[in-house]
Amino acid sequence: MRSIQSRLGIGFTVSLIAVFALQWLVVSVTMRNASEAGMITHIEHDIDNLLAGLSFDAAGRLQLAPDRVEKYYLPPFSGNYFRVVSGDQLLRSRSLWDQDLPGVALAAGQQESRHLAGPRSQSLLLYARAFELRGRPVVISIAKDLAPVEQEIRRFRNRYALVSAAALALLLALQAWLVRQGLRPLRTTRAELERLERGEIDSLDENVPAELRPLVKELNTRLLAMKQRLARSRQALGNLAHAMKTPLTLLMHQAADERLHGAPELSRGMTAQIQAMKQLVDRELKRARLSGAALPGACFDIAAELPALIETLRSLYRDKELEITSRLPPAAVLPADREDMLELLGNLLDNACKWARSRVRVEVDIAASGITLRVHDDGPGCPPQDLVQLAQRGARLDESAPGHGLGLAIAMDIAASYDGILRFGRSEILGGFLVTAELPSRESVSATP
Amino acid sequence: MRLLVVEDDGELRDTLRQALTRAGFAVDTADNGEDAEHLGDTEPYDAVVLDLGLPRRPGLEVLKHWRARGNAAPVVILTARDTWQEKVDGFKAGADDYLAKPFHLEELVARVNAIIRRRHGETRGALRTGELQLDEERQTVTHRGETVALTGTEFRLLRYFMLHPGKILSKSELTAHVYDFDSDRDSNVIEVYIRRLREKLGAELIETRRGQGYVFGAKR
Repeated sequence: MRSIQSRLGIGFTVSLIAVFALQWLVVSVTMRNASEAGMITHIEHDIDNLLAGLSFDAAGRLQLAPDRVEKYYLPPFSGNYFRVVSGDQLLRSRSLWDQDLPGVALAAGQQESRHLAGPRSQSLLLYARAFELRGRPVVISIAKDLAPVEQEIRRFRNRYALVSAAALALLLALQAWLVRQGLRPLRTTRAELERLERGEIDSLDENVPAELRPLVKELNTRLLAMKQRLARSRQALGNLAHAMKTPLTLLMHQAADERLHGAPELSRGMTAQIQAMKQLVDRELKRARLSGAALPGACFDIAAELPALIETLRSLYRDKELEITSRLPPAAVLPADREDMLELLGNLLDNACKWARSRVRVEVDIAASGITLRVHDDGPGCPPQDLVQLAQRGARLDESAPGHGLGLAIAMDIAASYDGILRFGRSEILGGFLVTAELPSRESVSATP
Repeated sequence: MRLLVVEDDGELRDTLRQALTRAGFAVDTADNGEDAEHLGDTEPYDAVVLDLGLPRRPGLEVLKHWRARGNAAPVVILTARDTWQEKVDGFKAGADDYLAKPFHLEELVARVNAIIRRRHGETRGALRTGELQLDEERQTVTHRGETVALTGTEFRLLRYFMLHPGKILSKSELTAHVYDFDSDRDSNVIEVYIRRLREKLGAELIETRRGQGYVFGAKR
């Protein structure tokens, strides 16, 4: 689909060109007709002049008084010719030299005009008129070269075309400007959509032209509905977790009851099953609760939240005296859900704190292509042969031993819900384990087919 | 040591009360946020076990209100949701520790003991003052290499003394921290228990300040 701007532009250009062409044509034809009419008036004047100089001598020969002949009839092929016929007598202007004009048969009082080719390939306008002079018929034909007139018309047409082209260009520029002005609200809305995508705002401004308002309102309604649905389902899942966790806690306490001390295997078996249930519930609830990249308008201010998270980890690992450092870009607001990002960072940092000897480092990089989170520790790390298995464990966690890599598996789920991945390796900085979470930006995700 | 346990599930509340009483605490309970907040404002608790999902007022809000009013009692939060967002928000609101359901009772007791000790500057290991070493698990005290058994009230009283060495403690303060809300709180009974502690551990251990109260370990 072509843009509205180019569609309007093409339509306007075509119609403008048609109008200007038609106008040019009409003006040219009118101009030519007016010029020829003027020429004929001039010829008629000459004819009257010649007629006044005509007479018959006593022998009945046709005479023309030389002082009645304009000077421009004298030079050969001057472009001004006349021819006077009376019976078998013929008078020609000197300018005709050895040529002649075609004869015209006219009754007295009649007249005729036509175009014809003259000597030296001149284009002539011929006008003839018949009279009766002292009882004898006389036909006077005068032909004049059209070249000067045509040259004048051509010059006028060129000038006219030039002015028209300039006017056309001016109008097109004006139209382009008007269309751009007219479409400005669309651009504003598009910019707002981009900000929405980046999570800087959570709804679109509804103060837009009437044509656009239904669209914007509809979009806002959808956004709100989606947000509410997500909030509701999170609430419901939270309630479910709450409802299940308390009975599980009680079961766990009953499994450890003194009355079961005589049957330690029973107690151990129950505890193991309760643990397995807890993990399944935890994992499935967390997976279901992930909002992922689906919701625009989400926004996570990592610069504000990370210190609180690090403080929380320090409190949880206060016996270890860990040194947790971080490196953040100055403007670190991620277009992602707060709960998702806290869960991702929390699990990665928790894993690092668990294994670290004394130091943990988190690094955040934000680029146009996406977000990269790196969590380093100075713990024992992971041998290369186990890294592959670790990367697959998320999918097979349900069967694996409880308590191992659950946090990493959840982190993998979160990364996957943002179309991202987790990479595992060895930290160059601290010498221990390194987890890299790569979350592509929405633009780069939608750009890849 | 007096605790407040806030949990809306009746059965779990009872299990927690029993376990913590067995562990040597005087335990009050509340089953909703409003009552919990009121109790926390009026009674001098040494620690609080606070469930986050409470009827009438969310646990996090209760905690924020306490902290805003300068109530610094150490708090362990209990939660079913177990998300990092909740942990971060909990610690931001002023929690001292965090326990996700389901949990073992031993774990809870250990956490409660830990936050109380931490509040009094003891970071690790058994509570120890001079020649005394308190074993919180078995509720006994080792005095000059000799292990002495203690009753529940004696244990609570001694622990409170050991956490506040060299400070004048009035009878009413001791009563408030040794008994729960429902107990018959006759402050004269405290004298009986102090006499018993003196009998077991030596008369010079707790000094009487007439008209003021008692001072533990002032001689050292």
